[in-house]
Amino acid sequence: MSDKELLEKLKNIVTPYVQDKEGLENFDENTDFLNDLKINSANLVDVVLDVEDEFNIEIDNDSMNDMLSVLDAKKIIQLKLAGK
Amino acid sequence: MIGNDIVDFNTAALQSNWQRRGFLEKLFTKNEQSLILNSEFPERRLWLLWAMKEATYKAHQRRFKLFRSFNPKQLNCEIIDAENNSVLGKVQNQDFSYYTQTYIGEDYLHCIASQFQQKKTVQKILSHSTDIKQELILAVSALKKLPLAKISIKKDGNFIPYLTFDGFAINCDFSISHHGIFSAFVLSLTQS
Repeated sequence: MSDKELLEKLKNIVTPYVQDKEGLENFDENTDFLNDLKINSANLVDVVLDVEDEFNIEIDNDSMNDMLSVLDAKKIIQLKLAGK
Repeated sequence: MIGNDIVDFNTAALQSNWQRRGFLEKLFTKNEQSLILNSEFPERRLWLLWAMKEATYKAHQRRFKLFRSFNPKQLNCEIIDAENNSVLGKVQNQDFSYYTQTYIGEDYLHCIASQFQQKKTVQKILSHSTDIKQELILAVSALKKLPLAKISIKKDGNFIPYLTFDGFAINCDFSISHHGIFSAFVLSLTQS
């Protein structure tokens, strides 16, 4: 999967939880889930569950611990996909 | 140090589907899951435990100036005493214990966590569009006897907020939380 495809999928996943829609306009690797998109912390778990479903991977607690930005999520998804 | 968390029940019901597959398992330990599922009001119980974890996370992060993280299952909640609208809890984070005091209202709950069971604080809960930061600045100005106009709130490299007076950091233990139509601050009256 290309980076562009992965980012596109990730953007679709986070969109329903975004409180600051302006943050979506500049969505890229540097986008932070909490500071830029203002995703409520209780919804971080929904992002994790949706990523699991979309990519058919399992995100363990240690990986979830670090999934706070687009770049973090991308790295974790790529790692898990490579390990399948 | 101190941490707080406010949950707007109506907003929580709209934002989260707690019954979705995996939701409880990712956020709560087995013991907490049974506290939720065996409760007469499982949704309220869930948000109580969530707020206890959030408030404790903030207190702990501030205490040790840590990077951000998201590992709710590392925090183990226990309910020590519950009466009427007030719940005393204990949260264990690895080797560190925190105490939580939660007020449960009709439309929201507000939780305060600290490593001390008795902590003297000022707190304020607001609804709708009132500016909670300005309210906090007013309280700090009164507490520290400093002119209002020179106090402001900044964030450090770990996104932890701190207060400044005339550009210099003030040693002040506080926490702010927003959710839905509610916002709250808690300000410690003792240094820690």
